[in-house]
Amino acid sequence: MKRIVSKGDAPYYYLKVLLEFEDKTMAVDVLTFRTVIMKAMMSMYGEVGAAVQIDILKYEDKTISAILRVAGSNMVKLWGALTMLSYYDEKPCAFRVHQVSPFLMAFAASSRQLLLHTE
Amino acid sequence: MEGDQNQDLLYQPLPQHISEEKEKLGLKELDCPKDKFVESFLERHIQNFKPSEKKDLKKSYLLLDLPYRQKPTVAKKKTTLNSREKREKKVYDIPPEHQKYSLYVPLHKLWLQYIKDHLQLTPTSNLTLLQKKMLKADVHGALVTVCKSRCPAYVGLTGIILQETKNVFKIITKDDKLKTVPKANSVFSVEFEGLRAKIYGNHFCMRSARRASKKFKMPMKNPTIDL
Amino acid sequence: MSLTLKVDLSPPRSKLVIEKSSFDDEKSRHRKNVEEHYFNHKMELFIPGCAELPPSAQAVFDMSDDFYIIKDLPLTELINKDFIENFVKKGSLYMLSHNTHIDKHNVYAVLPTGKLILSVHKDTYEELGLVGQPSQFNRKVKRKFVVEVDLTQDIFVPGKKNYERVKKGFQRTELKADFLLSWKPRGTRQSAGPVLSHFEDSYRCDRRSQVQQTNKHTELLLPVVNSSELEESDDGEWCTAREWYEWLGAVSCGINCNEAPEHYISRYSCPKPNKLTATAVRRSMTGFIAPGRVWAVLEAVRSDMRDNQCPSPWAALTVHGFADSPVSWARREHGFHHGGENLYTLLIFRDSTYWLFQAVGTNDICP
Repeated sequence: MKRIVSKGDAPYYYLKVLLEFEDKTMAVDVLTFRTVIMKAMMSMYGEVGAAVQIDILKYEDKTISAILRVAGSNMVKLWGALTMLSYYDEKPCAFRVHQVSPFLMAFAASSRQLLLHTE
Repeated sequence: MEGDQNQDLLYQPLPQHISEEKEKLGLKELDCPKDKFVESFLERHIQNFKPSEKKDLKKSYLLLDLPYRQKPTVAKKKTTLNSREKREKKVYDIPPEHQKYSLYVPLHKLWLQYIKDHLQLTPTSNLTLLQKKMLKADVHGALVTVCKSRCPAYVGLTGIILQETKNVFKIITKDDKLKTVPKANSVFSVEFEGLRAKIYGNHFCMRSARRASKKFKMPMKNPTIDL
Repeated sequence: MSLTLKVDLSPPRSKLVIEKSSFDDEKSRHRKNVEEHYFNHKMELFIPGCAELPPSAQAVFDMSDDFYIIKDLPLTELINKDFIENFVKKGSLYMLSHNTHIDKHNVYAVLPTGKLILSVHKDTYEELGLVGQPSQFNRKVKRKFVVEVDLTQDIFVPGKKNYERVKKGFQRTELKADFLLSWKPRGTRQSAGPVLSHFEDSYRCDRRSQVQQTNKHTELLLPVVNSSELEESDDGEWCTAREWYEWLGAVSCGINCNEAPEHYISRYSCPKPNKLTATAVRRSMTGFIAPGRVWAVLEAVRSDMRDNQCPSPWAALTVHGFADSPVSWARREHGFHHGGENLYTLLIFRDSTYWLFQAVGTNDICP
């Protein structure tokens, strides 16, 4: 019987984000999405910030939403940079961060979205 | 030097304008020595002047140039008790025989009458005016309930207020129990004539006599009534 | 004069407990772990190497297991004498207030041990008049309080001081909420019908079934794991437990880990060493699941492995808890903070050993 307890900082943090443009008909592919994130990090933290390793694990074209992975120590920086982004390529846009977790498994279920209505 | 000057002032001769009118004023020069004059003056004006007193008078000199020191006044004895004596003599304690709810129901009825007169309740009375009058009202005899409190044990206590001190209400409950409820961090509700008043204990922590004269201001800095 | 701004860029703390043990070990706590995680939202079973679920597991999933939702139920109903006698004391009753967020609203829960847990705001606590503890998280600013009422106590009957005080508190504050309810009567194979009839007359009740979903994977890369080693190997012969857990999370979210995408997009791929498998099946159930059902699935998978009905080397059972539940395991307090996760995964091996992963968020006590 062996037990490993890891408290404290997790190695990776995962974010579920959605990029919303004012122009709803805008189509964004995964490369552009990655560039938007890089621009956000660059404007907040400069060249060093833009070089931070961020992985897009899953990307959906239709909803422009993605699951990102970033090192634990950079999570706060990334979240802050995404929040502060308001323009890309002179078009107004905003990032909506839906879920943040150190465990990727936590994104498989969201009990807050269980809305049961009785008629 | 000044002393000499003062002495000079005291023993100076009469001013000129008076010495010229001496005959008119009826002032005569002293034709006998000064002490003889004093003796004869005293004999004439003191009743039953005895020669032995002369000796006493000789001893006592009235010094006019030195200021007269007043004797310290004796402090008037305090007629009220201090708080230690009050506690020893248990002046404000309610003895167990008197801790019966039924005894104070008439007091409550009296209070209802009082509050009706004091607030001059009419169906159309302005609530803010009522609030202002209520602040100055006496609460002894009011039926009060603790509706909110930072300490959950006090919530729900209902009873008639028997005593109000600076920090505390002494309430008698229906079970004939005398409860001491601190005013701080609690909200009390008083019901009368179909109206319910909420008293925020935090702002009521003062003696009832003082509260009658205090002007309650609307707090500009912290308008919240968080406990 | 320059001002230096000190910003704390460290991420929030989280806890992951990885336990390795055997089912046959007496001291194994797997049963306790499953049965004390009361409020389960989603259960997922992942079996690589099979196109369909093995028979016993399939049978358990097919068993109808419904739960009820009751609208606008006042808390005074929960201390009703008949309710306590007939339901709380005669089985396992699980109740959780629905659509109440633990960081914003008041949350109420009834545990199968007969305890009523109220996680209330400061304002509600001050008006309720019942003694409770301040929340263990964010102790400096006391915003939330936890009140516990033991419904199964002998002295908790109408007429007694404690009962009347609780009742007056509920009446004064008029607390009510929508509740999710699940009742498993003890002993006899009784259905949960009586509970519904108890509430049906006065409140709007609805019966719901768990939502089931099956996903099939083809040509999937599986990380190689050694059942006796959790840590990294010297020669790279197997993956660490943590890497495996991340991979399983990716599979559950529908992330494709087979091909490595371009470096610019992502540098994540299936941990090495890995093996290709032709098929894999993933079956999930979402709703309000009682721990008894989770235990049944676990036992079914184990029996299938023993009977060789299931050819795969391992199977993974993941259970997600409610993010807004006031307790995570037994009576450990649970809070939301950023994620509110309280989930566990059992990695079941053929040789009757298992790995247990328990993941909780920041505002949680380590299980």
